[in-house]
Amino acid sequence: MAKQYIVSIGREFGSGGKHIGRALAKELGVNLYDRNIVEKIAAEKEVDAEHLEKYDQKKRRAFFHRTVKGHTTALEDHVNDLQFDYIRRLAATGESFVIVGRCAESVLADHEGLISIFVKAEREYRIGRVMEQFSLNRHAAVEKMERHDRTRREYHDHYCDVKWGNVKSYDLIIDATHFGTQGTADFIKDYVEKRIAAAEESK
Amino acid sequence: MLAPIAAAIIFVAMFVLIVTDKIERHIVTLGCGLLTLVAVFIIIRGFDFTAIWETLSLKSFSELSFWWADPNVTHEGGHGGIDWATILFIAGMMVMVEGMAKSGFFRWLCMLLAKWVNYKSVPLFITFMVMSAALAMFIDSITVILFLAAITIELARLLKFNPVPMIISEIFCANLGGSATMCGDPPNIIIGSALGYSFTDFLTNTGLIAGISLIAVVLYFYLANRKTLKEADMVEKDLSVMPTPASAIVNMKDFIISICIFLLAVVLLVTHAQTGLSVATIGVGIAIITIIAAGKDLPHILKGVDYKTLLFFVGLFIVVGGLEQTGVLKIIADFIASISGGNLMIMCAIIIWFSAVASAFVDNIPFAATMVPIIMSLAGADGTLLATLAWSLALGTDIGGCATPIGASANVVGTSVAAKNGYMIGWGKFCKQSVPATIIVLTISTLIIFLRYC
Repeated sequence: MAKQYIVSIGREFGSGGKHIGRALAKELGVNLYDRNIVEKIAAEKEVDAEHLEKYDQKKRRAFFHRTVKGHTTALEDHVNDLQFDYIRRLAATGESFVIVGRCAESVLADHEGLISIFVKAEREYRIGRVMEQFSLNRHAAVEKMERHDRTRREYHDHYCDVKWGNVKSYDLIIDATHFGTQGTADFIKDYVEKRIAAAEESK
Repeated sequence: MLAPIAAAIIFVAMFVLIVTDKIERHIVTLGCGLLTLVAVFIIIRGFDFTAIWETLSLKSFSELSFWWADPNVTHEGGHGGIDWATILFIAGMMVMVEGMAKSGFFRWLCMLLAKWVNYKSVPLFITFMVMSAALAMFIDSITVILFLAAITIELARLLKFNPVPMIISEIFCANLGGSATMCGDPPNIIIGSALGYSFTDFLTNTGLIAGISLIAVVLYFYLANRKTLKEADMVEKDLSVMPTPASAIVNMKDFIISICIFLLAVVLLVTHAQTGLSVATIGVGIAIITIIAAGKDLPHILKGVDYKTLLFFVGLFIVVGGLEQTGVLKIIADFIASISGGNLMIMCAIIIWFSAVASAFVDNIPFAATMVPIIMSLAGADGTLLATLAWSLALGTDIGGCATPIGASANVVGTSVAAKNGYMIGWGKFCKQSVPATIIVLTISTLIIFLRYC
């Protein structure tokens, strides 16, 4: 493994993947990239981030779009392409970072320093977290969780060759139920450090 | 009875597959075309080689009228099946446009006009709309918008204005300009080639309507965006950072050659009724001249030609040929004749507005290709009626495509160029500006057709 490392985190909704990513980035002393990528792209392009966020991490609709000479009206494709391009450029700078979602494990699949993680959790644990985080009753929390998971799976599987949450797509799949947010982040940090050490040893 | 049903099912399946946009459209039309030949003509109709031969239309290459038609004799237009004249003309124009793009022609023209209006937003807005319409009269609207949208965004960043209203208006005007001439929009090439109309025929009929509509559309887009335009003019600008027109020219020799070839194409098209040269000959001729002039850039130019679109046309014409050969289009024509009760005004209104609504949601090229045999059937031997229906069809398909982001190829390319630069133009934003403009132009077109021809 090269000196540079990139930790990609895929996650089930309500598993705490975003917070784990944040804690991990803090522990490792590197930048975290998630939704802020859209803001950075918007700043680069001198446009309002709100216009891009609407299409962030969404799959193109089944109808009412058209492709001509490689140009498409599916705005979801454009926002995702802008993000994938940004992620590749970021990786090319040599910076180590943690990135949450955005098909990063697939976009950077060929990157030598990539460590891909998927965070899952038991259903009850996730429902409890969603109820607490969004102040929802159980029914609404379950609906929200299932809707977001479906959107994430559709988005991921549309833009990636590998399947969302599939064992073959990641280096490590971890259940956050048992260690909680900080505990899981610590576990992943330990794993990342061991991977870096192993890579250096093998050189 | 089985053959028309099979041909219709294949046609509907082709449309559905094109609309879903999951498989590349040239593969869809070629696949459906092959299925038409095998299932309809070979299996169901028992090796009907006459129908296959007529649909493939290869015989047309050996006919003198395909390349040159005596200007003193009235011609009835092309065959059914594959319209090779349309395909050759489009291929030729593609080669020419690649050569022009490479030399920096489009960028130079945009920068020259921007400088000419001193980078003021209102004149820039109006000039680019008119330029878009004027260029699209002779060059395919995809290329026009590809360059115009990119340069509009570049200017918008430097001049600090929102390029979205300008891009939408440019797209609209490219489609409107395309409706003015025979070579401006693929539906017009299909209609003109199939029915034997000249460049002048289009210019004096659809061109006149497009010209009047352009005035109304420029006024509409100005009024709809006047607040944004005024705000843009209030921002302080540093004109010293603006790129000069000369900086756009990649190679002066190539630039001059490409302008000469373009002017030659315009002259040949404008005079083709007098010279007798067919659009196929003009397309092939212009392509040969561009290829000879290209020198070492030839591979680059040929690589840029959109072969997929040409293959799309081949497959499309076969599928439509299947409908024609099996009598499906005659059934549709009879249906239109029965609901209009033979009233020309109702017939024209149906064709304009039905074509427009359909073209707003489905590709207007297959729609026009399907409708041509229908209007031929409706008109019978009445040439005046055929012309009236042809202008109605051309305007309906060309203008209807302006209404939505997927209605015409220029819309797709324009919104895509904007999105690649971070400006997301969704259905709401696009339709809010384009639907009223489309209704205005369709109303003008309907009224002029009623007053002039009915």
